[in-house]
Amino acid sequence: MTDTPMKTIVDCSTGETQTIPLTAEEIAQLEADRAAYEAERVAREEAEATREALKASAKAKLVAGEPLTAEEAEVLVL
Amino acid sequence: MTTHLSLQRMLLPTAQVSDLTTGSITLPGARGAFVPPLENGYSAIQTVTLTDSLSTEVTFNGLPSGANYFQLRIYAKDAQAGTSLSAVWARMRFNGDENQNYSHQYIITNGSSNSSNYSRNRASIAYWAANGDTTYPNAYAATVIDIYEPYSTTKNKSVMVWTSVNAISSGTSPIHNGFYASAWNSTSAITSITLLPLTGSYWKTGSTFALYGIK
Repeated sequence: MTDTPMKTIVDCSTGETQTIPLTAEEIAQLEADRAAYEAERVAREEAEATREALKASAKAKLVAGEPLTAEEAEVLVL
Repeated sequence: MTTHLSLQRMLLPTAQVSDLTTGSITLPGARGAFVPPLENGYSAIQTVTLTDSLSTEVTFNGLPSGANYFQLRIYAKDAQAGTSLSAVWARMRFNGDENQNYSHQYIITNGSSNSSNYSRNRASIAYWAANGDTTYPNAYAATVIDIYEPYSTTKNKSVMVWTSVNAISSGTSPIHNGFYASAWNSTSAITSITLLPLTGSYWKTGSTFALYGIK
């Protein structure tokens, strides 16, 4: 068990497996990648939630015979 | 007597002296002498099971010569905590290439809906892995990756990936099965294969990566 991120390298020519700690630069990049991905994930999930809400609203309005907004129409048009 | 001596000569062990670092024309290097080359057919090359909790990547190098195809059989999990099991992108790179030289298109299903998409100019080949470690700590993803003509210097590299992410439990159990046709836009011979989890994440302890060669 270690607190330092590690990478595993398998040399197929010798069968040796090395577990090497990441350098400070690699760790910094890892953290930056994680932060960037998390921000992208949050944005993507928010956009998907908004889209689902618009679809639900559009469907309800169609059933009720009410006019749709442009945004609601956009999510229904294939 | 003559026959006995001949038999003795046949049974005597022989020794081969060789340079451990470079080898020579008449005396092959020790490395090449004692590591068998890839045999005809389907051969196991190396298998590694991760024991470290903060494993960021696994790289296979020193690949054996003569392989017409490589196959990876992976049973792995992304160590991300979470209460819902979903599919997250795991990644693969060749020769440490982190440039946008990869592409893929995929078809996936979760048992109730299907989706497909494509992506070009990526920094890695992507496929699904399993997360949701908090609630589904035992749900690993099974993946088979076929790499075609890895040593060709005239062809870009084609890769086919099959992944199955399953969770056996009551209630909603997301199941993601996917097929990916991928490519590395390079005619370089493959010298290393790196498997990475989701960006910024870790492979979970117990994840296994097995490399096979087909000649």
